[in-house]
Amino acid sequence: MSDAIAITCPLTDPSVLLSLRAGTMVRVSGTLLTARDAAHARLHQLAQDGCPLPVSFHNQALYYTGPAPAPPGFIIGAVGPTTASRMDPYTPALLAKGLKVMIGKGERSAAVISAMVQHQAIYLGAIGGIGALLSQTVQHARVVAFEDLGPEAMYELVVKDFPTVVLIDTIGEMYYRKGQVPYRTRLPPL
Amino acid sequence: MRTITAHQITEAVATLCQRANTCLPDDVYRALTVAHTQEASPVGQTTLQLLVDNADYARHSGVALCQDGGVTLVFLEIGQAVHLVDGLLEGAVQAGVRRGYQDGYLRGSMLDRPFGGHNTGDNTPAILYTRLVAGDQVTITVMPKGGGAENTSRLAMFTPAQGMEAIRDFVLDTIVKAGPASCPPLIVGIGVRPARILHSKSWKGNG
Repeated sequence: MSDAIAITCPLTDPSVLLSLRAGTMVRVSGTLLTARDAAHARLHQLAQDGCPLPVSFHNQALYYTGPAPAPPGFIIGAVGPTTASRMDPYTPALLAKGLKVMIGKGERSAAVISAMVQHQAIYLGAIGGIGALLSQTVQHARVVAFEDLGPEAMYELVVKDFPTVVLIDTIGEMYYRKGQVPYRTRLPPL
Repeated sequence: MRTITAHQITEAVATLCQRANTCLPDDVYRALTVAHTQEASPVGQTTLQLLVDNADYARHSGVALCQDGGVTLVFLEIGQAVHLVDGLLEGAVQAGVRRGYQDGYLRGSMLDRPFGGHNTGDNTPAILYTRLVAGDQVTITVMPKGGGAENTSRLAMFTPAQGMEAIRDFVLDTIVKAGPASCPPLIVGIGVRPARILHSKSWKGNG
């Protein structure tokens, strides 16, 4: 990842995202919020009830993960990405609240991609299967909301050089599509 | 006849749960290092290098390879000459999973019921597969099966006229579809069996 682009979240200038095209390797430092299914459902319910959200999403990065417990002497346990599409139904509303960077794995819905283009947000892929290594990029971790959800609570993680690749960029281009093209031709004839 | 206590089973399962979540099997580790030398794309190379680094770090530190400790599958081959004492097999295995996950700082991922359920906190219940074999030993294999592996599993039935082509299409399509969400490395397991056998086993009396 030595040739990766570095960004710091929350973003002071979201226009830095415009030049990050699908397939670009990005190292993320700064603060990441975390949330999975249950936390998204709670956020959705709060918004429906007209209640304030427990955190601001303005220019923030949201990482889809439910970390493992921290062994003694560690800041956090394994903290790899979970499948982002489970959060799709809730995502356009968060993008409208200023969310700019999402980190997870897997495809996103057409509705999410169109909201990303509208709000100039990007979706970064963290590598599934390197949860232990990713825990080493975490310098500080604290629960910021829904503590009763255990591993599904919302955390604030302070990270340094968290490795990612741009999966969907601000013009809606998808690395999963782009990346498969050269390899599809190599599949045996059917 | 050999006597084995429920406590021994619990101890073995607890140890295996921790080992399975922190130590990548040697064949998988070797496959990753080989793949790294053969990979052409820079993102692919970086990914494979980080997977190898992750395996090294997890083994050395004891931090789980992945935050998802999966559904714990416990395979037991039980010799017919074994006499299990001081408890029931099922309870002994569940106690082992409970202890392994709690002592190993592994995340519990199981719910106590499918709708509106709560995390049991210790990854129980595990799923047991038991087989009676010859001899006086018990062989236990623990496999933490992550949600990414379960979610992308697919089943299809083919007519004879569709032939191998259709099976191959289905397998390749399944792999391509699984690629983005399932975590690398993908280990592809393919089971094929005649429909009549599948039927008679799944739907007793209807085959």
